[in-house]
Amino acid sequence: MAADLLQQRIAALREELVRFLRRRTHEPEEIAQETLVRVARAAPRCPDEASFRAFAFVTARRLLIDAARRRARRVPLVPLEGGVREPTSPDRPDAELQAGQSLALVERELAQMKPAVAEVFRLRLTTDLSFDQIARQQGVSINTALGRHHQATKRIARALREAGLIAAEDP
Amino acid sequence: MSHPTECPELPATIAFAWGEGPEDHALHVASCPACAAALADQADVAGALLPLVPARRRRPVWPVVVALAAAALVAAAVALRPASPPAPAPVAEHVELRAAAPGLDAALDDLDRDVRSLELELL
Repeated sequence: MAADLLQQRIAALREELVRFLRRRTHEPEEIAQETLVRVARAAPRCPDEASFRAFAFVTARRLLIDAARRRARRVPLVPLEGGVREPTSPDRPDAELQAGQSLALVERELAQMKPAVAEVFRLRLTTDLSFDQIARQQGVSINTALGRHHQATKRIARALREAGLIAAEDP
Repeated sequence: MSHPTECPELPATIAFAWGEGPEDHALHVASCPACAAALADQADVAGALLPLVPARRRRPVWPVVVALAAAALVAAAVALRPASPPAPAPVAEHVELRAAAPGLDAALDDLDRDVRSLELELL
């Protein structure tokens, strides 16, 4: 892709990316910047604006997961079972309530899943085990573990969106 | 979000989402509605839940290995001693080593003393 076309596409996306990220993270500017750097470095061969935009949002979502994992190592933590122990954000009094609602909803959903499916989700969320290690722990193939995680996440995402606990709109 | 028909690449997409797959899989995800939807679910759920749950970090294994190895050496040294007072119960030794942690020095000093006395007895 020609460098000026790439720059033009990147500049056009910046504001939209920041808006998208602002609804999903505490560090929208940083993740937007990192996204654009990665997109510029990858310089994907995208035939049109739509596919370039799709690539950029894939990169942004991938970085959102990384950011959430980093954040999980820093913030006061609350148990997945048993409710909220500490305020998750002292400057946002509603955050604790929302955290409690989210965890309660996740627990309800997990309780309705097959135990092996729920277990993959719990292990992924609460440990540093890789999917390969989780698969070995369960005695299944890695694709089965990945499929179980997808199944659980899809269900939980739907429930959280229906409850208005995560952003519903999509680019 | 509506989920399009699932794609055979979904497992690779989930691995990619968590940094366990090749980065160039992004091109596939960008062109596949099913994988894009799956990635969106992964990102939204991770973003909402990861900061809320306790990460049960696996503790480093090496201190346990060192402590167990030290305990085994002490037990071996005591067992090989020809005429010595009754050996301390292995459980007590293990507890003592654990109590010495994280300063493993004390345990290693005990070990050194045992090895030295064993050497003297063998001479």
